[in-house]
Amino acid sequence: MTMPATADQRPLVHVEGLRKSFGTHEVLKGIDLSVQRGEIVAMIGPSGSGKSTLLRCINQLETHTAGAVTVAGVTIGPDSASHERDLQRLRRNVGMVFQSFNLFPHLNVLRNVSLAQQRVLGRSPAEADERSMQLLTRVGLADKAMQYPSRCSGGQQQRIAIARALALDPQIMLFDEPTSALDPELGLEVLAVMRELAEGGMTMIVVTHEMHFAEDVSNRVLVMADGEIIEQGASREVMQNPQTARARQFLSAVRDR
Amino acid sequence: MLAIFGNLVTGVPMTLILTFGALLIGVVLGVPICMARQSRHGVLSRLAAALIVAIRSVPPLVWLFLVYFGLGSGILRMSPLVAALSGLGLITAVNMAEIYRGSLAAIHSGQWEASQALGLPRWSRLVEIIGPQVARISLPAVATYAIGLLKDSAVASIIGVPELAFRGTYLSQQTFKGLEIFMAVGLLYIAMSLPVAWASRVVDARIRLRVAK
Repeated sequence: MTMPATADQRPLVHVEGLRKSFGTHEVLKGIDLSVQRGEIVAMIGPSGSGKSTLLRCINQLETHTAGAVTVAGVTIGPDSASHERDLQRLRRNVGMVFQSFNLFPHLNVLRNVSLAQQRVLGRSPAEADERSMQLLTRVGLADKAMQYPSRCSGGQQQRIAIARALALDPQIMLFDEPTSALDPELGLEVLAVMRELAEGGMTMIVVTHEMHFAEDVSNRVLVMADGEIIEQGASREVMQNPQTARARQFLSAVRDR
Repeated sequence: MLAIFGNLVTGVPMTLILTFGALLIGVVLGVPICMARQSRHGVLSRLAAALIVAIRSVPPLVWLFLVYFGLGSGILRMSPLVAALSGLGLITAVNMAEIYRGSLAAIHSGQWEASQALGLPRWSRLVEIIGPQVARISLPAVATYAIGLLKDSAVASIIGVPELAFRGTYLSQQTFKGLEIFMAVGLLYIAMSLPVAWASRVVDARIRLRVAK
């Protein structure tokens, strides 16, 4: 089910006053963020700055301590006061790609991509498999359909994971450091798939250390540090002319590598 | 001697029934016990933990006496076989619950997260994603337990289940050929253990070939 192409001016993702603590340690200190349909947002920043936690709060793999997350009209309040049903409705619209791929090792590639289509969207096995094959072809892995994930390289596994998430026709895709577990060459094939997705108009939030991707592919870059968004703006501007000292320090450190 | 051996072998089916009956009960009953143990519901989890400790701390022999002579004397009349199956089945169940718990802990948290992020319903996450992986990780431990159980099933002879050890005891008393008879009993136990160990290795190797990282 895709949304009609009427101009929906409300942001697809709206995060308001989001706070998250692990015990006494506050990792997100009041985040406000709106993402429009079709936007590609890159989140960069040092480790431990809260990027991944923010991303994981958006699809509620992590509950938040205060504030609200709204995705495609489904709002979730703090601390799992929400029911399983609301979480399912929210996640229904959100695809997620993990740093460690997280394919299901006991299912072959086709089944990895088809299973949730049947269970979540109620597609028939034949419909699901057909859609899976389309997507596997799109990520260049149709020939791996009958293999088990362990027989695929890291780059291939990540492309399969992308196909698996896309198979549910999400309105937004979240990427949590999708290339960090890959060597640079394999990372490139994953980035190529992401680039193509971006060109196709998919709304994306990408936590990444790939500065080229952030600069060239995304429309907007957020720099996070110590649980806050310290700087954001058009990609090129933020990347080439950061305004805050902390962002400048981070970017120059990354560049100098 | 051959006639004696023939008589001895008639105990083998009963030993197998005891072993695989108790194993089946345990493998199935271990699932809800493990789920109760893992429950976020504090009372339920503590009850399950108490049950596991209680059952594991009492020797199987005492459990069989408790079931057969305790419950059996008046409360629940049952045959020696039913008593032995219930006793050994229950002991197996709590051990399976602990094996499953260890396997659950070995599953990468990303498997839960991916199945949640995909929005899979709870039953599917448990039955189609986590369950099969738990089963796979548990397999070697379950096979080891099964071999142990095969040997432990001999305690059922005490309450009169006509299995292999029971036959051996009976025949040695009849014939006074204890050495030969109990050597034969030992060899029969070995002969029954080997296929279990072999089957477990074959299945494990096959799964490993397919899904190993």
